[in-house]
Amino acid sequence: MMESFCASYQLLTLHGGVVRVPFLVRGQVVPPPQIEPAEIEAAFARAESDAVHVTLPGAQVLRLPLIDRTMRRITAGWRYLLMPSIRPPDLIELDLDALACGPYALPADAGAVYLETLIHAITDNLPLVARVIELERAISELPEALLNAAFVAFAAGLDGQAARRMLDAELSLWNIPGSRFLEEWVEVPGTPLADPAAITGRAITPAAPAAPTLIRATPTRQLHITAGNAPGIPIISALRMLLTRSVGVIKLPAGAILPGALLALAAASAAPDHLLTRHLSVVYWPGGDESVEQVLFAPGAFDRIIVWGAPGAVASVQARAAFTRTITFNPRYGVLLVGREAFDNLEDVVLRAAQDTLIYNQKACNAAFVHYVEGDPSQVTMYAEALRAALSRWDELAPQVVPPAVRGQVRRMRRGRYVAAGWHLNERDGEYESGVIVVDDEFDMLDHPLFRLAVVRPVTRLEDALTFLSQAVSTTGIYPEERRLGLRDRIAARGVSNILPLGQCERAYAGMPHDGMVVLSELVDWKNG
Amino acid sequence: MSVDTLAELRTLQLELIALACRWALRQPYDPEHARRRRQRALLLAHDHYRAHVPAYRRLAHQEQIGALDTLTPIIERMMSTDDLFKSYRQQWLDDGDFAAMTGWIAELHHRPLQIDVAGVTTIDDWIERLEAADVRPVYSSGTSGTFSFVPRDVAGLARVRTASASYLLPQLLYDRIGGPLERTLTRLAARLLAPAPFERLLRAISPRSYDGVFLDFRHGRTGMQAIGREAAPVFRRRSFLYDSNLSAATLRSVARGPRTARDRENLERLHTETIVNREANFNRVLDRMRDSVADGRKVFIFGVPFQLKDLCEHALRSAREVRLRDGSMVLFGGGWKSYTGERIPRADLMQLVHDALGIPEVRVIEGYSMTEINVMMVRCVHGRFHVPPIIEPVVFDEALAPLQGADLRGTIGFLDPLATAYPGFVISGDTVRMVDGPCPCGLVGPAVTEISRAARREVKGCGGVMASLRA
Repeated sequence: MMESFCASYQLLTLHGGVVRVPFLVRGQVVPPPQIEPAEIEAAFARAESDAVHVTLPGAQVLRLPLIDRTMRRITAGWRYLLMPSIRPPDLIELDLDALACGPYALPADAGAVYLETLIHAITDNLPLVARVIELERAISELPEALLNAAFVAFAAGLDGQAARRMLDAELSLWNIPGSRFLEEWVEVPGTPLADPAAITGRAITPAAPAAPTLIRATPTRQLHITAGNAPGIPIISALRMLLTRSVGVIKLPAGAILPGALLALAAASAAPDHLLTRHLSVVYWPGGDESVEQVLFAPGAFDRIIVWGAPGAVASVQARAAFTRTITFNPRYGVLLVGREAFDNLEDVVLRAAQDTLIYNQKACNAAFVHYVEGDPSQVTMYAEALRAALSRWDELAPQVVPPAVRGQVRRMRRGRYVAAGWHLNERDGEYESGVIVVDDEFDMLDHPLFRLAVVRPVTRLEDALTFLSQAVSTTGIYPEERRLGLRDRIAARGVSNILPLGQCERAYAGMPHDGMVVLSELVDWKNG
Repeated sequence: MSVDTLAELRTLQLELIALACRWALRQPYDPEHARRRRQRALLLAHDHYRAHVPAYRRLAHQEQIGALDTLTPIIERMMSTDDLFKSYRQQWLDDGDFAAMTGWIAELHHRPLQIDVAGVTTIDDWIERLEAADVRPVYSSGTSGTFSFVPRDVAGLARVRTASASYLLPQLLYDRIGGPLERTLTRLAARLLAPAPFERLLRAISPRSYDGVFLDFRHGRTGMQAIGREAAPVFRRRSFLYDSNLSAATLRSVARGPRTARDRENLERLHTETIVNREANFNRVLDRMRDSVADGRKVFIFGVPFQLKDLCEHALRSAREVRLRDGSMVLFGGGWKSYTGERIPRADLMQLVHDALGIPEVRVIEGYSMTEINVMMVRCVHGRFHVPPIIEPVVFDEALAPLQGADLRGTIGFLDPLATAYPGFVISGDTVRMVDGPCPCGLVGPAVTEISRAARREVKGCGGVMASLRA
């Protein structure tokens, strides 16, 4: 079915450098119009030289640089993603009664069953999945090995059993499984407090038996504005929305349009008439496009806006969507705290540290950017050199394509503010591949180029690193375990969300809090009845 | 490097300044000759830095670069970024370790620095000790509060004065502020006099008919304040928006937060001066301008764009607009920096200046420069910031490889042969469009037409660009 959709509309195949990408708009697959590659190239020729997005009648095109995996470089060529244009009003659910009688009235398990349907559709169409991976391979900045792993994780993320556990854990109250609150009004053993009006009016108001204390979690209309650093983010967003039987829009990021389109096709082909499909949209528009966002951010258009974004983007959404509850996943980063015990087992420690550093090739918010290492200068140099060697093994295991701008930034750092730092780089043909920089002074995170550069900060005591921990740090990986247990509460008090053993910073499981929130609980509306 | 070589460099500096003067006045000028002289000066500067600036010598050693007969290796491997001047440890300033700071700045300076830092507790004290040793540090403060210190010296500042008077004033006199008589006299003087006496003459005659208004603090050592400090004495009367000192310690506390009771006191004073008394300060400089009008004198206003905008908006809002005498002018530069939220289109700023002060756009001069270089580029009426032939501009691609061509976009850097006290081969943080060729204004050579601050890297973390965070 997914393949027949693709065949009918020539979707997700390559033709003259162009990939036709469908959207899902409230359950309907919307293919892009027929536009010849020459017409697209002409449109970009008319645009600014650095334009990445143009609009054409009924269509929009995103231009992404082609990556030569063999030569491990970004080429001068382009891949064009041809997508339909969108009409923002079409994305908004206005008939609230239809929602109440429709998707909101589905059994609590409907979301998990639906996810199982989607995963079956995808696993039944592995040639198409392979084709999408191949298309993604030509434009994704992720190393090929990590890209393949991301698609495996994508499938795993739609696992029905895990989804049920997530629902029961994240919406649980009073030791009652969360799915019950989503299914029905649930009586909880609450004891109403003394009510001033009732006390005052006791003399004149007829007595009535106390009503039971009932709570229910109702689905919401959600707009998810996702980020593309990790291709799984749109999938996580969809999972959260569908699991709560909610309805709404997934806005794909430029870096994960093809996996998002795969999800859209799976929904439309495997369960075209399912209420969750009929109220699901998967689309793209360039972030900040006023013509779209003015409509979607208007009061009453959605019940929740979920933004993964830069502070400016988040502030912009919050300012324009002042009357809609906004849930934000801010940019954060990970750090490691490595105690002096590491030098008894250095090779093992640096391999774990490298793994924590390379989560989504250092693009995820839990990837370690800075390693605070307890030791004297010679020990820290030893750590840096061992870590460099570990990163070199990753360079062989999962070769990355380093953009020219990253190499330029490394040059800027070496010839500027970090001229006196200790540089331990892996190079290929004299060019940066990965490495370690030992910085004795504070490091400005804005200077970090990503792409496998670990910043090592020597500290006399691990506790000295606490001063650098704040809400901006999502994850701290610590070695050894006893030091982690000793520091865990102090680190938590500074705003860090995850304090994990070294080598386990990528940890995720059903029901795990995210950025200090139990997210499903934020996405539903809690009602008293 | 021998004394003879340094003498040759100084001779070439004056020669380039003289060539820039001819260029500014649209007199017969051979760009190829200027290029050859500039190249020679830059190669001598390279030798000077290798011999006398420890940080540069180390980089040259690391890159295995010795004496050169071409600029290419310098451009490709020896240009530093402007961040070089903030490569000290913040901890040293936090801890008041000014011996360490002196050791660091000596690495970037061409003379050995041995100053006594006993009793030095603030950046300002430290700068005063450096000044006693003939160093003239100029600093700029980033939004994160990380200061950039450029260790200029007395001789270098004198060269800046000579250069500015020799090409900048003639350039402005030619088509922006001068009349036919002034132009003729300037041309004649340029032909007859060497740069130093030419500078003295122009300084003596040009600004005396102006009263200076500086939209800044009376005392301070940021790049803009340094320009103001150099320029102020030549005006017969001068007034400052803030008639006080902005100390480096206070400026650092603004961005990084106060650490001591003294910091808090300084911040309170700053708050009083710039916020509580803001309107009174605007009123005072507007009153001084009105005095100038009454006395039949022209006014020269110097400042950064957001201050200029605020002044004009205040004048209009409080019905205190003033019609300055014909010939009055504004010189602004420095960008919007951390005031990007207040940025308004250039045309709107011009209209504001006209409405509030009566100065037409032709007399509103916009300059572009960097704290680390010794020349200012002035935007002509055709929208080009012309690069005087004293310095060599280079545009880099995102990998920091130099680009060739007559119409380039990328990160701009400069090779500045006037810099002898510190390495003057600097890559900026600005993204520009640079064109080369004749301009309708009559000037030739490279010119910058568009300037924006280079994005500080891309997405970090799952969500997007982070703020400046100290890790």
